[in-house]
Amino acid sequence: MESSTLIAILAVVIPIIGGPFCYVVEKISPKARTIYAITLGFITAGLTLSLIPSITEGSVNDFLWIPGANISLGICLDSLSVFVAIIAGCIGALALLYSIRYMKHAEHEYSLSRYYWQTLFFIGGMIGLALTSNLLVMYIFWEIIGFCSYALIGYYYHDPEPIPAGTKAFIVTRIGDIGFLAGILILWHATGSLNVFEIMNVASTVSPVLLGLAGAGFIAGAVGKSAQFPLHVWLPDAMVAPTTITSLIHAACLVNAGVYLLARSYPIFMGLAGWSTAILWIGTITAFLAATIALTEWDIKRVLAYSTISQLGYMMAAIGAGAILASKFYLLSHGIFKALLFLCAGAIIYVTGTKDMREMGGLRKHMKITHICAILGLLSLVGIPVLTGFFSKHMILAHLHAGGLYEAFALLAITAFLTAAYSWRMYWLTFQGDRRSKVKIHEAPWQMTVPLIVLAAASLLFWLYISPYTASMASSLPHYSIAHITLGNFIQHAFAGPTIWITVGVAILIALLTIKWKATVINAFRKPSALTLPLMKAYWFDIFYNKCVRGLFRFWQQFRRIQTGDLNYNNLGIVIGFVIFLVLLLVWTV
Amino acid sequence: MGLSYSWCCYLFGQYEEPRIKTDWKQSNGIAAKAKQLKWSERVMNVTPLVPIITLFIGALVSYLFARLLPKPKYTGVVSFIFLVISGIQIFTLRSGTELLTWSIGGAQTYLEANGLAIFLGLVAVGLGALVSLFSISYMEHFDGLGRYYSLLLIMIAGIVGIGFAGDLFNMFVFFEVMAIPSYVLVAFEKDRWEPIEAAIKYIFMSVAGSLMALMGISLIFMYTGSLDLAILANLTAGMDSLTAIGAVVLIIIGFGVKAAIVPLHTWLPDAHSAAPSGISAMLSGIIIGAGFIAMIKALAVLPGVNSGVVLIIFGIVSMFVGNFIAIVQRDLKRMLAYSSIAQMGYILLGVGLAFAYLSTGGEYGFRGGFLHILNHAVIKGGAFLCAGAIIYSIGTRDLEEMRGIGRKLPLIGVAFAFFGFALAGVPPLNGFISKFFICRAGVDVGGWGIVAMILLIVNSVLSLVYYLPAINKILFSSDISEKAKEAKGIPPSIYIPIIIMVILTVALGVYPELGLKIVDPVVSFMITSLGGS
Repeated sequence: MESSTLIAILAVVIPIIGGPFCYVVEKISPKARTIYAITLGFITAGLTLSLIPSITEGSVNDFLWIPGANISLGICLDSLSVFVAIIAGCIGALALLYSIRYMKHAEHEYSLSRYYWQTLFFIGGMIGLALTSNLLVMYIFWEIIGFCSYALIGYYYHDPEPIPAGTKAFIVTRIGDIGFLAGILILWHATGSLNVFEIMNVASTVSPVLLGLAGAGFIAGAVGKSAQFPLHVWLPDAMVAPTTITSLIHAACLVNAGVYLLARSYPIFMGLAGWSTAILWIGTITAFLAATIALTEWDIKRVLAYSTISQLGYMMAAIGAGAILASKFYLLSHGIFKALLFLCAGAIIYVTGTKDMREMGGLRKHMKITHICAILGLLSLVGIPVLTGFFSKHMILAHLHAGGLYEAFALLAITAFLTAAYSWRMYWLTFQGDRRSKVKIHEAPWQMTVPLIVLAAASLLFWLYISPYTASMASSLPHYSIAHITLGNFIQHAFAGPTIWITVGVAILIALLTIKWKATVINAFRKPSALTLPLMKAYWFDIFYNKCVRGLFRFWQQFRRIQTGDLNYNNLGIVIGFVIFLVLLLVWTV
Repeated sequence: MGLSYSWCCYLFGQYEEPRIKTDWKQSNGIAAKAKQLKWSERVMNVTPLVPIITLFIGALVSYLFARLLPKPKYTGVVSFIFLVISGIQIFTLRSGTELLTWSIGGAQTYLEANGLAIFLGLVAVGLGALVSLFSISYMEHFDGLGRYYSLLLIMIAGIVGIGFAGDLFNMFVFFEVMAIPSYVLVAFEKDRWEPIEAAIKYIFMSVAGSLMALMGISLIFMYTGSLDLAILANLTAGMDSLTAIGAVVLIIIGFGVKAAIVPLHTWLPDAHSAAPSGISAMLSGIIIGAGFIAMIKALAVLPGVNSGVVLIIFGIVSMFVGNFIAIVQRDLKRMLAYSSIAQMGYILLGVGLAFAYLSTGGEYGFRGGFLHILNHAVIKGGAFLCAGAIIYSIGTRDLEEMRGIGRKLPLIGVAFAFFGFALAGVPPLNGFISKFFICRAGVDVGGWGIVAMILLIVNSVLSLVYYLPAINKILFSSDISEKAKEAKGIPPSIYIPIIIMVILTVALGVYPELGLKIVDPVVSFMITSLGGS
């Protein structure tokens, strides 16, 4: 076995198998358990990082798993999968470090061993999902992270909201999984293989109907997992999870899976014109709608949640436009700055004890490190030079513009302005203005600020890595036609293209907001008006779904009537069965 | 009756050489093989009967043990030992080569150790062994433990016999050997009205079913003059289609009552929830599966009728009805019972696809269907044992009153979560992989098969809608109910079988080859016996 294969296996096995031993180590002391869990997290992160030199194309190693059905466990170490694994491993490790202090208060009521092993399981599941080349194995890890999200969102089970929110997350994402699983089965039937690379090679021979069905199924799976319209409703509710977990869900472990799946399967469905267009528009519309909702939220975590949905829309749109490199680069940079923003929000919540931005304000004086880190994260989100977010968002918009997809380009450009507006609103409400919090404010402890500083530095500097990143993408992904970009080219392209005017416009908007429209934007959503009501109600999606579910339950209740408990009726069932079976067989045979 | 008579003849040396009347008998495999065997080889080939005899002896010993010795509680250990011995005997049988032949009134018959027989035998004996262990403490406060264990063992002997039987009549006899003890066991708590009512419903519906099955078998016998499963498929080709359809319908209804196909399922929720939990685990885990296998064996002799289509349609109906009603249940055991109907629907769909479209969906339909019988036995058996453990601890079946019980009995709560997720088809647990294979059969068939596959996956998600709230109530409830606060501890004999089930649930899911080792012989046996390649 090659060493890279071994490292890849260990990166999955160590967190998944090692996690449950938290319960054993806890017997020694709770402190030892915490150290143990964090060590495992950092070992995993180190293992994923050490995969960078061994990036190669294709499936590197196959182990026969179910000989009867000829299913094998393939490992793939191309640039696409390794970087998704790195994001999961590294952000996971930082979130674990952050948890030392952040989760300490929960120790009396909840089992922290449960928290740590499920978090490790989550990280391991995402790394496994990224590093496999077998669709069935990918689906298995896909469901494992779904389970982890359910368990971790519902972590604070003494409160009323978390458990329903976790249940909702699991069931809604599984509705999308119906399509994903059906798609896998159709591809398996049509090509006789579950290996992504083998399927890619023969995809052109598959009948368009089957390929179209499978493609639609994959989109459904990705829409569920990556919280795109109309299956986005679980993500804002998932904010009741511990903030470390929300940062994992948003940045590293869960929602990236859908975008990753579409990027991974892009060469399979490339030939279907409607497939790309569908993804492009799902992404674009999601980006726009979610950004408008984010403007109205008062809960700091829910603002960030809608922001994630919106940014995932950008990534989807990029895949729809064929810009896989831009989409993946944005996935990495978004992972970094969104984790940073969530951990900043976590620090704020830790200090102020509330999630409501109306009770914050004026935190800049007391939380200097958090303040600077949050500014860097928000500027990256908005896309201000020279942060990573600027370059990556620019790549997507430039690609759409160059590809002549002007409608989607226009809508995403408007979304960029909306992004600036809600980011500014969030910043102003929390850090500027008067202090509205009644508790004593202090800076967060070092276990929390160190991850913030690391992530802030990464979101400031990650774009410098573009040349080796695109080189590895170009060399390891022959199916995608990705070109190597040098740093000079990259910078020149970003500042010379027409999309720089969007950045200029965004900067002007921020200036105007600060100088002139401060009160308008902040007060606009205190009371609903004809214009703001749809936004404040999040376009009634949740209300509509709740009505549907209640209606379904009433419908299901009717089925109880079948079960009368009366023996005469029961034997009538036998007679009815007899008649139906007889008629059916007569129709079919005679 | 037939079996015991012929076995007595065999033992006392009154063995008659089979009188083979017509030419086709000599030209066909098993009958011809039987004729050529010498006496000494026959003695060697008594092996298929050994596990069944072991179970009958076990039944007698268990009864005597419970009646004569001072600690009837430990009868469970005796029955466990006999089940393990019988399991080892089944395990050492070599598929297809072991054949026991004798004759009744001139017509020769036999027990055959084929892939299907070994599969069914191992699942039944394995589940039975765990249930015996579980019952040691669970049943300790009941009278008549001798009856309980001996009936349990006879019931399992019947299930094992269904697999081994080489002709339709003996299969029917074994089917009744399985059924009659199960009626009594459902009504084991005879002082309460609920089990009695449930058992009466169960008896009436089952007897109606058995009668129909017997009529179907008689029809076949009337037209072909044979009951030999190995050669009947060739003989029934000459039957006129109306008679064949009549026979198929009677067989589907007859065995379908046991297999709980909607609309023949109405006995099941009452019986499963009223029986002692160990018996619920047996009923749900293997008896409905055994009824289904009996049906499959009988239907396989009538390949001219497209019975697979009926199985597919009623498989889909069963999974929807089962899941829909399960969603609105508040009684944990009733919920699991309705879920069994849905799970039988998946199995019906898989095997139905294989029956109807042998050349395309045959391989994965049988593989998925039979693997799901095994997986369902493990998961649902375990889930009922968990429910039993909770009932043992707090004495209620109401989900509302179980709130927070998982914090008092963490092991049981976590185990229940495993089984719930496995039943909802969450990978990498075992319920997923068998459904995955069934779905593959649907895609292989194409057209409506793809629709059936999507309906199956939809149902899998639907079942999460009731398992997740149940798991939430048991493990993650914000408060603890009054009854759960006074929960009493669980003895090891209850939680050891549950832990074994959890390990099996994970192992069969992570490494499905374990299950496929005994399922793949069934697949090849079914395909060859239906005339496929």
